[in-house]
Amino acid sequence: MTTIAIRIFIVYCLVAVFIRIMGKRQLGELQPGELVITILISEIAAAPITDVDKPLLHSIIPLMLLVSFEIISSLFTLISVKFRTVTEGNPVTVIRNGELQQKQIKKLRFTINDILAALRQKDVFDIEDVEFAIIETNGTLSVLLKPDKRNSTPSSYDKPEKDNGMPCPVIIDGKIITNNFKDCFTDNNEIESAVKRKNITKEKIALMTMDKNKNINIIEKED
Amino acid sequence: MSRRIIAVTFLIASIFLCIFASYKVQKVCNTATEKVENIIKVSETDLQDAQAQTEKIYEYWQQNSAILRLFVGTEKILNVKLSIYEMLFLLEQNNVEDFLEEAANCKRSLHHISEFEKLTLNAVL
Repeated sequence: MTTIAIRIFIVYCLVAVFIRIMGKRQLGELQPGELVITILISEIAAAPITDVDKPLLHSIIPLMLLVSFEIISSLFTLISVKFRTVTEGNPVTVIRNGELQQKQIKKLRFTINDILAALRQKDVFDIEDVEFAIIETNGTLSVLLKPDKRNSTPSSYDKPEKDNGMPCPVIIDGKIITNNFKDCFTDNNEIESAVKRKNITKEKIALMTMDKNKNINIIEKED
Repeated sequence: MSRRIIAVTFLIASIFLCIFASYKVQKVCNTATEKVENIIKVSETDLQDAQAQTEKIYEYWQQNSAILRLFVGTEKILNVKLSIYEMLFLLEQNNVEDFLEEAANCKRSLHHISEFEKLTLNAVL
């Protein structure tokens, strides 16, 4: 029994350290890969506690490998947009200008009830009020209400809310993201010329967003 | 310390431990198997010498048990230890027939441990 108690202590310390090393992303909303890692960690960590015959190293080595794979793959996701798309997928627009995007919902294997329930949890009861609703890669729903349905703020008392639509990321890490062209009514040429006008090369851009009124926001990469 | 360094360190440490575990377990098991085979040969002519050599192999196994326990299940290590102990007891009783059977049993246990650490496609699948 003492052996089990000591093992629990060791495994607890190790898992706490490993989760800490993997970073805060692990503690919040999980990406598919992170969910897999979290489930595997709990299974592997439990093995030497329940079976004293097993050497602790049979648990520690797989834990170390999982943590290193997770960190290495997250480094790849930072470097490569394609790798990020493969491992995490892309956000999917399920409501556009108050209209349900039924094909996209079917592709996600969600029901309309699921979307309605997620909207209700965001205090939205009428689809007509929604300008954009997007299922994020971690499965949560983000909602942008139509301008006249948004909560008023002190700055909006004097002037009515301007309908700029949703600012879409059109360049991430120097690469043009074509998926969002439909939502911000733009195309490759427009993005290229907008970048030229700003006297910057797209490789130097960390994030560029554009809304439907062609308002641009550029964040340059840090050296 | 950067997470990249930690990740690479963990990866290298894990690979090193895996290779070391395989090497150490194979080495100890192969040596022990050779010793048991030698004892079987000696037991045909000299039981006293066989007994002395069995005591030595018991000590050898005891010395290496601590490090083997890091990589191999306690039960498997204990099985070999008990088997060698049984061989010693049977030699003291001059019971050669049962001794040979127990020696074969000991060899099987050692082979099993050694096979477990061998990197083969079958083991992976």
